[in-house]
Amino acid sequence: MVDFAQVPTKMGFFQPERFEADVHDCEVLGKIPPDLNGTFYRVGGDWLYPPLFADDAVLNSDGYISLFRFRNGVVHYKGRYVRTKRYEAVKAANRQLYGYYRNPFTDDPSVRDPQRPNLRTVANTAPIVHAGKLFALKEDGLPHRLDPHTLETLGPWDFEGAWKSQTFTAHPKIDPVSGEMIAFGYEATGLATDDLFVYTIGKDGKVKREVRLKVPYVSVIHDMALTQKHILIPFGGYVTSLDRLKAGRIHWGWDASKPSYIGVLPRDGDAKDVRWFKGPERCMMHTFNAYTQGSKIVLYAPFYESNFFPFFPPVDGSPWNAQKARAYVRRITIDLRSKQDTWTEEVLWPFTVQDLGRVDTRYMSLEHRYGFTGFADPERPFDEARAGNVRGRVTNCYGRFDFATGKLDTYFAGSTHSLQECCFVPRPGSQEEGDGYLLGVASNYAEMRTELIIADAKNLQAGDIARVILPFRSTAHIHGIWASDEELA
Amino acid sequence: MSSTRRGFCKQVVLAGTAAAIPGFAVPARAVTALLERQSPGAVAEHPLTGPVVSFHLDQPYLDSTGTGVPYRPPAGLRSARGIGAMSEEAIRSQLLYRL
Repeated sequence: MVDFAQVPTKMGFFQPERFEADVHDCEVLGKIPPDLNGTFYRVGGDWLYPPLFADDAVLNSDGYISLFRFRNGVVHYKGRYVRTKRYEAVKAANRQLYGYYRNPFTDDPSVRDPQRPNLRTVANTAPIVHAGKLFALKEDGLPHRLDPHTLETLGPWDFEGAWKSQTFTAHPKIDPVSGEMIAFGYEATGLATDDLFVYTIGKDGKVKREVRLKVPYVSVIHDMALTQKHILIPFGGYVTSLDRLKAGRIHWGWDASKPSYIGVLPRDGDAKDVRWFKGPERCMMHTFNAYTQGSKIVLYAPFYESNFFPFFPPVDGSPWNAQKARAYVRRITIDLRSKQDTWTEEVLWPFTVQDLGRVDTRYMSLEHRYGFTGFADPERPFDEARAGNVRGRVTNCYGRFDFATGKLDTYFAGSTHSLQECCFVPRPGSQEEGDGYLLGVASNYAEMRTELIIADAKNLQAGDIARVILPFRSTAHIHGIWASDEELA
Repeated sequence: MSSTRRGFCKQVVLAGTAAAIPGFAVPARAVTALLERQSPGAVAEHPLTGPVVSFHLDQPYLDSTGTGVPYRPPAGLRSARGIGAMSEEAIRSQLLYRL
């Protein structure tokens, strides 16, 4: 019998979804743009069974993938669990078998396998489409390949044996010029190992290049950035060890004494060519984009001051600090000619943002002007009577951040809504950066339902172009991508 | 006040029994106690006729007054109300990007 603890974070809107869904021809408010044809894929986590430990990370929930398919003004929805080895084991047992986030030593003996920790991945972080294939990703295991139309899980994918790392990042980058996918795996040879393998995968989906690195210390390397000349590897603060894991603790702790790092690897370089630049205490999760300009690398990223995750506690026993768990839009400049091993950093807007930054992916690795992400605007109206007393705590706006002028164009979702990550979709036929649509999913707390918003990315303040209504409450996802029909061909 | 699904199911059984058995009457004090837990103050406002099970949006609802009192969801069972009093640390620990 399933019995989720009666705690507020698993009740009401936040109750696990625990079902799969198909909605044919969704209800739409407004009119879907006729040139918006393709698929919006999203991946997140949904607890099939309650976690074994009450203080486990929500990052440990079972992978779930969904799609909104747009075709000639009609939108269809589909949602499926990712059939990982772990999902199948738990489902067969009718109970949770897996322990703390990325700690196999805490698993039920029937599935415990610390030598192959990647087999317990939940594939719950991000989707990617490359070389016509759809994958669900999580950084502790291999990609899971799925049928892009039915969302049937086809299984783990090791690029026909050429991918040697045990793990694969949730945030590979696709070079719009070459069509290559640049990706990496950290803890590449097992739990708490300092091996980082970096790969270039050709437009045809085959591994072209592998570079094996050692990191300054073992830490979360969640995202990366790409320029036409360099691969950037940012990380900082989180630490782990085999002793920590054998002691039955959650995978990561936060060590504020550790510096942050950005590794810079030339795209045609080898391990000897990597250069590790060092910075202050930072929690470096996601990036917007980067480019190389002469001898300088410019990186835009919504990094946090310090530890964002309360469930990865400080190793010195100090309390988690909400005041420092704030993300700002930053411009980081690395001077490759300098003999200093550090960077300069500017905070571009004075308010905190959701750290799920996106750009026009046609400009990935290239000089660019715009970034998109959500943020909380406490000045906007909020209907506490219908949505609950979470005023000021919800992500109620998307912004188009103009890195060149400092201007901000803002979309407001409504007085009972909270927004998840947004996604930019280019307008067919246009090459202008930022000309297209901004898609994002909103939780409507008052109506207990999930809504997909569609706005003009060049005129966010105009509000909705259209809104797709799901007749139920879908568990919030984390990351999403747009795939045109051509990409899936 | 908050409620649980299990608790709600018990209430449904009670109401169903009352509705299904001819001549069966739920003791008035039981209904009164149930109503007081679910809708404090409602007893004085509405006369007791008999419990009714209805569905409001996506959730079943036991209207124990039988008078069609507007649905007042217990805290936390609908909307984001249940987390309103939680600390930033508690919310992020459990929900992270899901808020």
